[in-house]
Amino acid sequence: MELQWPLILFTTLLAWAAGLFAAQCVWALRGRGAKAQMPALIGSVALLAVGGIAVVFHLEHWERIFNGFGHMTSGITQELIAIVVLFVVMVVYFVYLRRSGDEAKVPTWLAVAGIVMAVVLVVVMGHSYMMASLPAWDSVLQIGSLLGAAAAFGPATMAVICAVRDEASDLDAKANLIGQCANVVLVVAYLVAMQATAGSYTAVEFWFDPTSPTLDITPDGSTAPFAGASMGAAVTAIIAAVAGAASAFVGKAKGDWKLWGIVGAACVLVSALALRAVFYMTGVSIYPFF
Amino acid sequence: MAQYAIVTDLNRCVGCLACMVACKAVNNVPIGSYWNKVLRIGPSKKAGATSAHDVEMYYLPVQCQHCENPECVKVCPTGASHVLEDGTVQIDKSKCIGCQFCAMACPYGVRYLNEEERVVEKCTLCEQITAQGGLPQCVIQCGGRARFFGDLEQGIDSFEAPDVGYDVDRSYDNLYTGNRVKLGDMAKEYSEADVYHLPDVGNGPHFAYILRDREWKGGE
Repeated sequence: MELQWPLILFTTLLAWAAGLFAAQCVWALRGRGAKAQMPALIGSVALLAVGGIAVVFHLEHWERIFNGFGHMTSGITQELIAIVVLFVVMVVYFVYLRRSGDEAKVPTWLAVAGIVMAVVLVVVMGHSYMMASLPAWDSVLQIGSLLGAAAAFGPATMAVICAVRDEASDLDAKANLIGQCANVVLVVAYLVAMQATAGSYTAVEFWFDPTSPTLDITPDGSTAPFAGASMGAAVTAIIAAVAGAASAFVGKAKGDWKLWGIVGAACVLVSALALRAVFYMTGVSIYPFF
Repeated sequence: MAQYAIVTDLNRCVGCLACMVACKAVNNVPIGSYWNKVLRIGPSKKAGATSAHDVEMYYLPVQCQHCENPECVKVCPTGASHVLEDGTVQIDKSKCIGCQFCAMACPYGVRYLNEEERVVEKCTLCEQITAQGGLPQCVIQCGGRARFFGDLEQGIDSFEAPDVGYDVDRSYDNLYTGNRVKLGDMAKEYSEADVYHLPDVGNGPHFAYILRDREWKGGE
């Protein structure tokens, strides 16, 4: 399948938005980063908005978006509902932040609700791509890879904002180490799961399509991430994820999260984009002859 | 509720591509896109083959299988893809937002984006003809009289195609409404073990293929 860049940006930016919002909720629960709360909230809303704008470019007739929109079994409908609910939680969060002034305190229930909704959004988003027709996509580890990106994006971005606002804390290192290492594990796990589906496609030995008489029917490796054209992107996804984890260790050692938080977030971005590229390159129908 | 489908007797299919061409002509399918394709499966060595020349093959017309649990309908956010009372899967183009998730969700890859209208298209089972009692164009034009159309609720022996012979009225109008022969009356003997479907990943393809004395390739 061709790379669907609007969808690649949509999933990546929404994972970032959800990760950042969940991270600021964690910081709030732990009573850290009061001055970073409002900038983080603005950042996550902005990421959500840019991701939303990106996905519109995928739609051929976006002007018909509400022309019967709402078929509940559709992953797209479920995504929209999750986005709206998360946005509502963000608005409530904003209200509480404004009311509490410089203390920037939010109720525990709200912070927990923020984390839960951030996770729900990422799960729903990943689930919408789980299609039995596309073996490489039809894995819960695909959802896991998006959760991994969110878990790495959030703490890295939050650590940068806290550093800029002179609010560094022990949470920066802890959350980044956990998030970045989880991302490495989940990126590798999904790539391995994708590789394992390479034998699930319908095979008929020799075949011929008269509409493409010169088509080469020898396997081109497009059903496996570590073969053919997708190999480079798969390796990039792993290297960038590992580099992100390394940045967390260096950040912990140096304590300079302005730099290493940015490096960490950049590594996750490269890793997430590369993994999503592999996702589309291996998006081959289970009956790949038509 | 009916369940319209097509049964193809693969032992009769000669690979003339008439079904494919007729479909493109009557449904104005854009160049480079197809609602129906005839694939050649094989040549493959026969079971127990003693030489490289001992092979078999068959032609396989593939199109939308108008499934029992269509994945395309499930993922459509606007209900543009829907199931009609006659059991066929149709697209309301005025509702399609062009998200193409249906094309991704189809196990057979038979949906495509019409670049001009910017909506997804696929085989309609010639709803415009069958709603008036006629047969789908690919069945009408089948050069090997291999394709039969009917209601699965009535059993595949009841499926119909235009009759063949020297004394039948083969005028153009009669192609649509009269002059029918039933699969049960025309097809050579077959057993349930000779009836195949394309791979099923939970979608339940309704179209069936009869293949005798040859090995069906590709599961199911």
